[in-house]
Amino acid sequence: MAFKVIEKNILKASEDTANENREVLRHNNVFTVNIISSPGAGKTSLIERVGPVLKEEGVPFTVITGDCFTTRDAERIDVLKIPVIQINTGNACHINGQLIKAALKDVDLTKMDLLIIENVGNLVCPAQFDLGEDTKIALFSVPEGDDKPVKYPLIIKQSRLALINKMDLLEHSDFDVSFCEESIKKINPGIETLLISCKKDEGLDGFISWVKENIKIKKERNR
Amino acid sequence: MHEMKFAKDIVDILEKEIKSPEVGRIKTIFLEIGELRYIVPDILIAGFNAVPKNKKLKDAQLDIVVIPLRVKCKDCGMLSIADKTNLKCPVCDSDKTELISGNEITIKGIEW
Repeated sequence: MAFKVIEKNILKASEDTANENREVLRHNNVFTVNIISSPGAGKTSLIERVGPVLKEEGVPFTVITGDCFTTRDAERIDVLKIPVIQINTGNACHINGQLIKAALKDVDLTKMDLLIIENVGNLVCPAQFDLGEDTKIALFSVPEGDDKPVKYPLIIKQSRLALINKMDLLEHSDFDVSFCEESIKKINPGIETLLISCKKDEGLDGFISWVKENIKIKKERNR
Repeated sequence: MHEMKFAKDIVDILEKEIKSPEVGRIKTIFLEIGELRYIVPDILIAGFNAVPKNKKLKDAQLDIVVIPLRVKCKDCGMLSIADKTNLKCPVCDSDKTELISGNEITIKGIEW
């Protein structure tokens, strides 16, 4: 019987690719967010609402949207004349760094300030994989229930921003906003939480300011 | 579902590590997996058994140790086991804590 010590991080290859992506994005001053939520929480709706405003305000950006096998999300964004790249993961439950690396070859990073990655709808697996983003954004919604942060803490831990969408449905549900906000803070005290409604276009100014502020910070840091 | 991806990564890493002729047929692969990784050991084992692999790895068993989530408080200095849903210091309730363990996903070693 013999033994060999290995001490290798299983995610090393994934992390190396993510770091390569991060370096390319840093070099080009592209602030990058990786939006993660359950299916149907409103990732595409958020981009549909916020995209045209950012476009009007002259923020150059691209969306990479991940889906198992359809192009439905990309079509919804393309209609708005927003540059979008569809990644089909072929039934895989998350986007990985390799897929982002390939997609980045198709865009002119020198003409972008912002990259929005819309991950596959899933609160478990995408939280495990670094794509090279500046931060993940955890998106929840009222109909899912106020216990989602407690049930999926890793995504909260890795995000600098949490969004609670579909606030317009609050009156029809027993969703406890302060319980949800408190449980988010317990897992990650540094996180910012915004209450929004994509349907009614409420609270989105706060999100747009957050994005613009972070673009500015990234540019200043690289100067 | 992400267990399958990790199972494939384990095989990819080990196939490089065991090329040397002195390494025989692997009996056990020792893994450490942090609690925050949401990995179900039985699914990882099933995934590992299903992934194609070379002769040396074919009969290997996974020995998985789940590493608890531990935080160190920056205020009172205490090292504590924390709950996944509450990373505050259980001793003084400070929210200034540093994650010490719980995030690992490591191949520690192999036995043959």
